[in-house]
Amino acid sequence: MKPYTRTIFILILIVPLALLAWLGQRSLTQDRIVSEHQSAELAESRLREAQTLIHSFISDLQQSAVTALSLLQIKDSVNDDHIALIREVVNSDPYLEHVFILDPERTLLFPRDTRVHSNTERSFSEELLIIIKDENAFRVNPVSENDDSPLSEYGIPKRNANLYSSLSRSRKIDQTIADTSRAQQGRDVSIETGWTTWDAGTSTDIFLWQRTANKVLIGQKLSYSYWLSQLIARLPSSITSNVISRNVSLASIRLVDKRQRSIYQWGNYPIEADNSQQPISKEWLTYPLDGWRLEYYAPLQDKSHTQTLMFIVSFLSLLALMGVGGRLIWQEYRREMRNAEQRVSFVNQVSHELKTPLTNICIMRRC
Amino acid sequence: MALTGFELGSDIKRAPLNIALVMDQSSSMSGEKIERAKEAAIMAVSKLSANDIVSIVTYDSTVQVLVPATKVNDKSRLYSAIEAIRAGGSTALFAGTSKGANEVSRFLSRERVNRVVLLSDGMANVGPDTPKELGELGKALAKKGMSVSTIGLGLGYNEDLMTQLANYSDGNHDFVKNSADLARVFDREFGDAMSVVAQDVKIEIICEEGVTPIRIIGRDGTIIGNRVTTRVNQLYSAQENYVILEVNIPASEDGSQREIATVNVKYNNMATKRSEKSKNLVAVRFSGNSESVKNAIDKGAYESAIEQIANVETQRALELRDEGKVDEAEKTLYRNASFLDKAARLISSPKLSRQSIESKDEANAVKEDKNWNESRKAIKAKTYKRAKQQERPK
Repeated sequence: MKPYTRTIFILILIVPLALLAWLGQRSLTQDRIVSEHQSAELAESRLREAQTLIHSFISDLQQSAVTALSLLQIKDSVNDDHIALIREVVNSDPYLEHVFILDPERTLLFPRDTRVHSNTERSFSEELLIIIKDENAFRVNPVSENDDSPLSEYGIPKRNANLYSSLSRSRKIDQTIADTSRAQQGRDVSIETGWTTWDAGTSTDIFLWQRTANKVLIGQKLSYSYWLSQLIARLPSSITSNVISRNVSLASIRLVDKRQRSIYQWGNYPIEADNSQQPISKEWLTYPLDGWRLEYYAPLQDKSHTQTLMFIVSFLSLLALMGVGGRLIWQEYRREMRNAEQRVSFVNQVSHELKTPLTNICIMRRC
Repeated sequence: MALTGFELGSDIKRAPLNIALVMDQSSSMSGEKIERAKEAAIMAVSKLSANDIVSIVTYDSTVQVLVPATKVNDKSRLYSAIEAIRAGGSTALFAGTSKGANEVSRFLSRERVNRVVLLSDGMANVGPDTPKELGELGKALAKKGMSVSTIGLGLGYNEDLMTQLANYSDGNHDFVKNSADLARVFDREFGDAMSVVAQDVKIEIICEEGVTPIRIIGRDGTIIGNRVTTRVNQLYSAQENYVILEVNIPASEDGSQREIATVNVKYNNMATKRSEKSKNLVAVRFSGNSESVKNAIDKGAYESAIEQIANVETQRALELRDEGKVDEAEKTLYRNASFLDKAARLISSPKLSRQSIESKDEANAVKEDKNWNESRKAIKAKTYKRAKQQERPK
């Protein structure tokens, strides 16, 4: 009888506790999933924001590609006026490193070795010869033909004044650019524009090209450094660490290029320099920045850790409390039981002690 | 050909500045360095007037725009922003420069002296980090109309990167070994910016028939056929700046005279706020007599030419040393010293003799391995300053 009560007693104690533990654990996991989901959502939305910034930068740049250069009425040869204009544009535009012109048959019209050129133009034309050999080098990228891609707009180019503002640009060119934009708005000519990236050794060349109505290709080699610096200028900067209040959640975003080189990072969460950390979320960029990615870093679920810890501590203290309480109750029960037994045995004894003489008396009386 | 900036009198107001102070706050800056840098920055800011525009950018692994480009109205706000700088993190030099340049470009104007002043003490380790990439950035910024000055602090920075970044925009470069000297260098830098009298000086030299340009000594430029173009970003008050062009002239008869080139100069005059032009002709006279040639030497021009030619040789010696050809580098420098000595005797120039002594010292420095890092930074800064004619009479 005794071990049985004991089991029941223990069961009465354990079952609600186990139930409590199970429920607590469940709600904790649920909480964690929710908060994980929330932070993943936050990470994704922050990454998408950054992605939109970058893509709008690229498409702005592409729209501004149609500059004074498209005014060049080039049919099958380049004359001295053309070259003078090209050189002036290259010398005054910080984005531009070189300009080249290809005729519909893919022969180089400028720079060309039969003419007088500067050393840099000459070495550029040598570089170009390799690129031109690639049939696909200056085609509209098939990926960018999706509707949702920011790079598929080949409409009427609008010039972004900020993007192309340059002090050293002469007034003459500014005028021609303004004319171009106006002319284009009037005549709805579609100029095909596109990007080409070319990996040469350790560096990447970025070309922005346009094909005019008479199929002449005007290519512009962008200054990689300036282009990157303008991109960085568009991305957010960080806030000084001593201004950050405690309520702001810690997070950082990092831009990584094709060569796994960290280009720029912003945010208030320090990222380990040795790449030992895993990003919470990643987002890949599209052409012409294919292979580039944005990474989101934040501390790993700090909140739920403390929650779990708190739960375990409170559960353990409850367990201890119930253990002590249970033991006390058990002891009390045991004492009660003993007392009851003593009472019963006393009564039994008393009744026995009484019964024996009574029986004797009875027997004696009958007799 | 030489250009001299006119002297800023008290009646002429100096051109307002549009300056971005880009400061390294990576962990290597911590301690003495950052404190000195902050003091120097505060001192520099205190010299600005209400018309100037300043922005303060700091960088470690990330970039903080402490003070976006604003007019210097409330200096105490600037001071407290500088005071709050704490060191820690990596060195995102490229991004820091980009953000600084972006702040300058907000108020980019022909009437202002647009400049980024970069202070760094370490290797760039976040973002682009090669001298070529930074040089390209400097070039684009120069095209845009701003100059970049770089200050290298201590022995940890990359001197090639810092000089290339400043090179195209004719910005200053300084090697500051001891952080105690920072205040002096900042003072000089801001004083320089305040004494700019002309910006965006475009020089075009058109050589006459038969005269072929070979190279521009000590400066970048473009040679297309007989046309040579180069650009000097700014001219300082009362300072002579020269461009040296080496040309090949066909021999001619004794006593004959001919024009060899036309020089067109276009620049923004900061005092009149106008774009101005000037045109000059260069002529030579031929002589069969070496004595009369000697007497006809324009001492100033000759001195400058020799100085620059020797400077290019020093740079070459540095390259040789980098390739590990220590002996050749040493020989080049000794040859340089005797070349300078000879020229110094010819025109009795104490300046060239001093340069000759320096060249000998450099020849000794090249041999030593122990202090090479420091010597290299010093030589690099010295040749850069010489090429840019950065040392100005006080």
